[in-house]
Amino acid sequence: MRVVIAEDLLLLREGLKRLLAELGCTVVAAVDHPDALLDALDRERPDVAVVDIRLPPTYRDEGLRVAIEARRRQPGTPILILSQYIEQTYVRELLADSDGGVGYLLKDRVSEVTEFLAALETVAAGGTVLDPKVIGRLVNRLARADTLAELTPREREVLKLMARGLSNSAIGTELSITERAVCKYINRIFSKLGLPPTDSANRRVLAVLHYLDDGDRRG
Amino acid sequence: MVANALTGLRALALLLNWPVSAIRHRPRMPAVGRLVERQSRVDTMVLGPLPAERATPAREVLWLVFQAVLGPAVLGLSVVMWAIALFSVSTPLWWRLGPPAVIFIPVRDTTSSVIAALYGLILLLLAAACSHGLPRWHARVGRTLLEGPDRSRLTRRIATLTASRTGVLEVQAAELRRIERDLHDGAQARLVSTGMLLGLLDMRLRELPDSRELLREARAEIGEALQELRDVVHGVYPPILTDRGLAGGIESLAERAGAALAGIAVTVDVPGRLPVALESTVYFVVAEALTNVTRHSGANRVEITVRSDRARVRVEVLDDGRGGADELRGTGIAGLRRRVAAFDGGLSLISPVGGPTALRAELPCVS
Repeated sequence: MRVVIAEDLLLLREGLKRLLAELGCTVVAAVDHPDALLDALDRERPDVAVVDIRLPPTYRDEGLRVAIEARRRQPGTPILILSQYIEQTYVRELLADSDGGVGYLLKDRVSEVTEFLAALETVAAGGTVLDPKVIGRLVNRLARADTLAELTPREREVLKLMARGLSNSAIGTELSITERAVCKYINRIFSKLGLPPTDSANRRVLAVLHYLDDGDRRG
Repeated sequence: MVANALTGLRALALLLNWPVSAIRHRPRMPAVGRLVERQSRVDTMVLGPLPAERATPAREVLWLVFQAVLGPAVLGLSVVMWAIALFSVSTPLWWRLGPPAVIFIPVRDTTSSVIAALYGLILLLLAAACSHGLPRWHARVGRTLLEGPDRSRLTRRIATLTASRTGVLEVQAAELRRIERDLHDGAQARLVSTGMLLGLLDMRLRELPDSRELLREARAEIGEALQELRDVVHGVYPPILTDRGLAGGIESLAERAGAALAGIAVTVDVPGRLPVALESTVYFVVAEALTNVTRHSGANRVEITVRSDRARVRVEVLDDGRGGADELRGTGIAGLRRRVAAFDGGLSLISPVGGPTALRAELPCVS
């Protein structure tokens, strides 16, 4: 996997380079500025870009803005955003273009090396990865707001994992159930929520996330 | 007093020189300013510190005349009084040496000289009182001449204090932001980096399950530390305020609280950006209100409204919970009151038993 890193802190930039190399990825560029990231994305066309949300010049949410800009220029540019804190607003903005190939994780998740690699692969493959914290909040909130009241606790669990971008088999492993059981849960969730059934895992995640997000705004 | 006399003489010199310098178009005011400054140091010794403000030119000229006349006069009067007093007190020592003298009474014998000495003693006390009181009176009148009556001085002083307090609050907010940045770039980054190293180590130790168990614990610790640090950072200066301003910050708070509520309505109508310190205070007022709502009120719906015009910001958090919120229990509201008071703002909590509860705060927009 060819990866571009955008991180302004030397310590973390070097750490990520080392980690990704160890995981068998090729770091084709490691930059510390949004403009340099846009250049690198244009030049290298990487499989995925890992972008710190806080970048110069103002050290606010430049990472997010540049990600949205890059995806406006080249739809579907795969970008995984890393941040020290999670904001729902940012999730909404990141998912706005419905093209897939995005992720938003807390920085600490990087230390779960295998999961981090899986997240990178998902985003590179056009999937969507969201931090468990994001999903947890969305689902809890909608459960309170009666939007998800019809779902059983188990179905909610499956929904959360699905929204995080996990595959059927990964969901099965997580909940210690068979993949077929997972499929059955998912079909039931979709029919209860009135979502159109779809085969593509990515479309499925997006459908769920948009459902959650819309419900969130309605609530 | 001697210093008074000196500035007085200098004032006289300046006054006398005035027509000459007016003809030569030489600016006189800096010299007057320096003199006023020197005098104010003298006055400070007598009356205590006073705000450093430059008086208006008209007042300075008035003071110049006053100082030129009374500066030397006060010294002169004191010197004369002391001289007469000492002269009189010592009458019994010298009355025999010279021709008969009149010291309050005609001095002809020892008895009359002692009576004269007693008069001298009274005069001595009077001189001492003058030496003590005259400079004070002189300084006070001089200060009033320079700065106007107490009332207008106080008004100006209040304006100065208000401005300096705003400055202090802004400095404090900037400092908190700096701490937030330092934590983000320092401790938080190092912990993440350590986590990455442990993750790598974990990968290499696949064949040693025992060691991996320890590693998992270490990583869990780092995760906890990061979470705690995030909470601290959030309490110091919420990063979302830097990123998205007050509206974004309030939305984010509503988002967090929303998980425990059926509905939450947010209206933020704030044109432009408020001063940093004010923004974070408004943010924390709403945050504390929402914490109370979700913890104690059992409310289903909450309405948050933040509005500002040029003069003030109004914050209102309404909930349909069970009410009966007691400000004296817990420290949250008291803490908010202090925060709001620092801006000359007010905070009210209306929470009848059975609800609804309304928390309102109003803060002036000083900048």
